[in-house]
Amino acid sequence: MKVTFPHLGSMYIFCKAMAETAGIPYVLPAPTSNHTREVGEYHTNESVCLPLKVILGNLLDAIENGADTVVMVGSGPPCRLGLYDRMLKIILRDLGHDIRWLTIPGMFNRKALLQNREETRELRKELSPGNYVRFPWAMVMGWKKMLWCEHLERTAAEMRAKAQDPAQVDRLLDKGLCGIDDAKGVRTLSRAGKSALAGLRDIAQSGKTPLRVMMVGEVYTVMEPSINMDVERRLGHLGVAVHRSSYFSTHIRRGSRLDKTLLKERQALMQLAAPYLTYDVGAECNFSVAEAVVAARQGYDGVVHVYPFSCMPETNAAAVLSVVSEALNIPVLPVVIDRQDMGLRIDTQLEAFVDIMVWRKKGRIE
Amino acid sequence: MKIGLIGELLHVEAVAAVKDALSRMAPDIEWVHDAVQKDATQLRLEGDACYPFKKMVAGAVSLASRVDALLVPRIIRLDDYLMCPNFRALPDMVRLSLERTGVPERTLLLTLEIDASGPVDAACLAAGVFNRLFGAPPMTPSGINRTAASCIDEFRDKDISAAIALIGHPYVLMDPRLNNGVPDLLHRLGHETVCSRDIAFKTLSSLAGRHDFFAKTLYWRSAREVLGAFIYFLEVRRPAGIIQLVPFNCGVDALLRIELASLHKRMQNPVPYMVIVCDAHTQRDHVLTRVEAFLDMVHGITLN
Repeated sequence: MKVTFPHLGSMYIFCKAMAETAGIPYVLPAPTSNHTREVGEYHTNESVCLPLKVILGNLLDAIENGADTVVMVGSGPPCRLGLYDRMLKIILRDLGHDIRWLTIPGMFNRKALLQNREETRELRKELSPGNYVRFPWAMVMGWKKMLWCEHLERTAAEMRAKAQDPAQVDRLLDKGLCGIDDAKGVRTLSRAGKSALAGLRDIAQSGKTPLRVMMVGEVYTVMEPSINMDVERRLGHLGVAVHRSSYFSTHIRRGSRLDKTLLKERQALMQLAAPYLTYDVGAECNFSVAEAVVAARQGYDGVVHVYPFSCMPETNAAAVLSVVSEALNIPVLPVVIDRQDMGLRIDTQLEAFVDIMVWRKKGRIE
Repeated sequence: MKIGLIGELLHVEAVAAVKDALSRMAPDIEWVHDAVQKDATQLRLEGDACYPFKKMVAGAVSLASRVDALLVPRIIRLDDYLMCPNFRALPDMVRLSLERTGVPERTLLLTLEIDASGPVDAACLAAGVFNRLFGAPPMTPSGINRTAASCIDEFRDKDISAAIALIGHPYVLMDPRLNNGVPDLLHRLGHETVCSRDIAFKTLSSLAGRHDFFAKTLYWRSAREVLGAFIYFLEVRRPAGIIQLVPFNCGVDALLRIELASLHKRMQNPVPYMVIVCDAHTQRDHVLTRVEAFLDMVHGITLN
């Protein structure tokens, strides 16, 4: 057995850590590139959302390098993410790949757990007693690594906007993530994380007060830089601190329904969106709207709404966000992303958006 | 009293059943369905929503100024399967678009929520609408069915071997503004058509259910309808060919096309199958070309 998993922000570090700690062989797909996106679209169609195309590209790359088992995050209705693995299985089978699946339930219900049991029936036969013994600790290590990665990413998003040399923040972040990825134990992990954080916080600052932007939108697109065309980094280089609430750990905690605080927060967000959307449209639609309302109330300078072309819930959110923007007087930039997108287009949009926010702050426009 | 109801939604049988029930309760209601053409109202909807949805919102906005009440369904589930998320947002999209254009003060906006785990109780839903319209519950005349009668009968005795099967969302199949005129075109070219609506949903869902796997149940009703119809026409009763009518950018159909194409490839000797993507085109030459080429395949015409 050789497992693989798609890139989803720093989720791959979580999966990799679990596989390494449990002693399960794995294949890491190459970083997502234009080729990954092309391959994904070639085997699907124009109206499939970009995350599916990218995941498919990742998996094909890993399969070519020997992977035979896919670990995927599941989800539920009404978003299409809930059926990604169904479609991916079909496509890969038609391409002649006989692949086993393990779906990490995005919603912990009876059917999802039964599916998980069925999927692991064959996989368990290939695991040694050692794998089983190490697995609980592997989950702990993976979880800790992921939390550290997310902590670093949050700090980097804040510091990049203040730094004299934002590119240095990128280098420190990459180095920090590598350090976390390479850590073999809790102590080394903690040392690597703290060292990376200290490096980020010690960076020479420009002295300028950065603009603040809330990034909202479809979960996968917000979390994965190679899907959102690195919007967070690009904005950071323009002196904008980006805040987002979508991280892999929050996605898992939400799906488990064990974190009551998170559930209460979600309910509160639904109430904030209620004047605009009187029903839960599904996925992150209502939450994208609610977070924009939060951003307006908390004095953010703008909202960036990232979503894949043809995303059903977020297309509705985009329409509603135009209303929120007018009603609450906060600029909202919709960034619709698909396979054929170029970084230059994103740069142009973001630069114009930053100009608007700067001019508003200076009182030159309302 | 004039009540506006988006014409495209009449092809969803639950909505048509509620309309019928309400008409029996209040025979004086004058229904208005057709949008005014060339209404240039700038909608709130972004460009990449699917065409049927944009049309429905535009249609509702157009109706609002011509009626006393505008009834906008929010269809969440039918037969315990979900509708596309756009249907959940439809009333809010209409409301927000009307706020931009200015809702006439006299026009009452009513949301009709349909969330059915089984047969739709059209009379009950209609009674709720009646109450909101007139401030009192209706006097239920005798003879009104308490549940919506299914208007779909299996067409067991019909010979469909020479017909072209059309599969897709019901509002796309039945509405000439959404189906690029394909059914009419086929009729003009001398072909009978059958469609997924001719088959009971229970049958279609059961066929689609063969491909479900625990949590990987196809949870959209229209997807089950289309997949089930595809399997029906490939395996149970074969027509001469199958055409799938897909609205451009339909999220559900985007995934379904993958599954249908895969099924088709794996079949031995399948009937010809084609996808036609429908959007707001006004010229139909490209549709004619494709349909003619498809019919050549159906008739086994080859170039020497």
